[in-house]
Amino acid sequence: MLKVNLMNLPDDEDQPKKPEQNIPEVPTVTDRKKMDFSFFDPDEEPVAETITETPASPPEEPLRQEENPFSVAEEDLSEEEPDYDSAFPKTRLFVFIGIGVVLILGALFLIYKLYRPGTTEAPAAGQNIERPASTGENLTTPPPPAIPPALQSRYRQNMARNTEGLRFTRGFLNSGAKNTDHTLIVYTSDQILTSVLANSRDDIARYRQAVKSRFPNLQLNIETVEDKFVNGRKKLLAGFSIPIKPGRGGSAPVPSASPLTFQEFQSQLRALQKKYGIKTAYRKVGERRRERSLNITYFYTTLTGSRTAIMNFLKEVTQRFPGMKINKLSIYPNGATSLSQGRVNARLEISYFAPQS
Amino acid sequence: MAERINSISFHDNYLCWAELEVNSSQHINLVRVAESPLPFTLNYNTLKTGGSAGQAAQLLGELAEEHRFSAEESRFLLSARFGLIKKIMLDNTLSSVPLRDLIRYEMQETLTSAAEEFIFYQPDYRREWNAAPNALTIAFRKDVYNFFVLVGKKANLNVTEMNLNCFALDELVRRLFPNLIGQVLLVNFTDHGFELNISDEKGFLDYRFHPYSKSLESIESIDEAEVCESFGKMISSLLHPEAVDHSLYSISHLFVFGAAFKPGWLEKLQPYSETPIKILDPFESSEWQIGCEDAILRSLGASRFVEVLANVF
Repeated sequence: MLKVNLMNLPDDEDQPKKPEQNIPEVPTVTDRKKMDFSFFDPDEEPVAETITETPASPPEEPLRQEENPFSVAEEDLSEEEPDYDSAFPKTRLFVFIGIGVVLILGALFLIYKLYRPGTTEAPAAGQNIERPASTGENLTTPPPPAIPPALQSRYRQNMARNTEGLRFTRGFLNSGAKNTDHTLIVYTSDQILTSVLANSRDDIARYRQAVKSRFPNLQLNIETVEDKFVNGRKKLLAGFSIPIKPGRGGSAPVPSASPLTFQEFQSQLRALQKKYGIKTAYRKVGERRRERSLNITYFYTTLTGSRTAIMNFLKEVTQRFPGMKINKLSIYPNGATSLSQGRVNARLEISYFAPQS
Repeated sequence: MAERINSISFHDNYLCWAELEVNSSQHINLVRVAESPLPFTLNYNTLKTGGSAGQAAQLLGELAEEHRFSAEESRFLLSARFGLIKKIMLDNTLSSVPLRDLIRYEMQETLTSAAEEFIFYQPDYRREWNAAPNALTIAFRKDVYNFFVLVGKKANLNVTEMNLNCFALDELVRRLFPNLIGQVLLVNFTDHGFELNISDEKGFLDYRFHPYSKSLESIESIDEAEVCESFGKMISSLLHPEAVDHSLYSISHLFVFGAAFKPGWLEKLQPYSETPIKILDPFESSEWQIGCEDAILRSLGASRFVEVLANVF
């Protein structure tokens, strides 16, 4: 049973802990010297394929380098209780300053909206105004609001990244050799990870060749090979990592529809799920923050459906929602041993970009 | 030889102190118990205020003197509301990302303040959920941790363990009733809401808090009908959540207990649950013998002291 004792906190060094110390179930990176990689020749590997992405995209760095968070400083447990009051007024001052800045910016924005230059004035009485000839179209429908340049640039980056991610995911799903099945495909900003179930090392080698024939410039690094029993039969489970280098921004055309708020995006996403018969197993809205003129909302969801439905759903969302950036996409079986059988789960970690209202 | 332990459970405005005698033949004797409201409500402001730990320590000293608590070893049991418990799904082949960084990144999406203000604790937890391994992480505010360490020090208590009640309660149920098959829901009636523990025969699954009302009213200020209605809403939100299309859990056993629970509510709560509701009574265990020599304590019922009992395992 789970035994928790907060009095015995782990000692934290400057170096991060080895992954296998904390989660015994997670497969560790096997020592290459011990594994038989005779079917794999690393000298054949070409340069890794690049994905076009503007370097100006927000940094993915979620971590801050700070002091040891796992330790409890002994000096805090002095006889005299520490005085917290000195820190509190500064915090409040910064909050007030922040609120004041926001109010001033909001007022300036309103003034700009009301009095921006180029506004046409009503014509004087009696003046002849040359109107364009009617073409029979309905001219009363207002044009869609222009998408701000900052958002357009972000949309292009998102669409390029999402399209590439989906292309790789679909490509891997459709790649394969005889007697091999995918058990996991993960797409992130800098790499793709796959797990493959195979009958033998020869099958794993054939799988690699099949993937390379589809993606000649990809560099497949085999990370693990271990035995796994499936339905009473012994198989091999191989894990691959494929590095991806970020490149320049894409040139895909940006949809001209007006930008959606995050709430509108969520409701349209639900409607799309219903269209494809996809269920939600998990949904969580994470941190919301501002970056320049954009609001960014982090969103996490796990979806369940047939493999075809999930892929068609992902294809449509990447086309319809340019405000969405897929930070991580994981596809794995739901109740089955591989992705070729039954239903699948798609776990999405998304950043949603919307203009600040 | 029997071991004597002080087991002290803390909630935001209340504490319960029990001296227990534990011997190796699976026998626990509840020697003496004391309950008391705290002189303040534990929250962000009171933690920042100097003297709160001293007041709590003084209260413990008074209780020790009045009730003659004499055990050498003390164990604190804290409400899981003081921490943030999260299961983080891992990908098997993410070997290039240090696990600690991955967990901190995931936790940062949930934390309401900077990660530097928290201690991250990862117990030895082995579960798979949806074919992916899960890492259990507890984020505990350093302020809260330091507060309780200081309370123990000022009260001259030899505090050897500090646990969260959700894990201790899971351990208690599995030890006292090891033959329970299927998912078990423990509903702890506290002052401001239900503390929910979900587990199965493999171990801990989830912890949640469901307030009696949106304004976090005390159970003393709401009537019986409102408590029952809130219980029904809690069950419904757990088994039929809005954001997903199917229930995450399939509860086979439902136990109720807690300092704020009244045994007379049992019949009134049953219509709100399809699963039969039972009172968690450690005296009914056939695996462990729970004894209590104090007639008044026995009359109050062991369901009131489940948390302090849980701290001994």
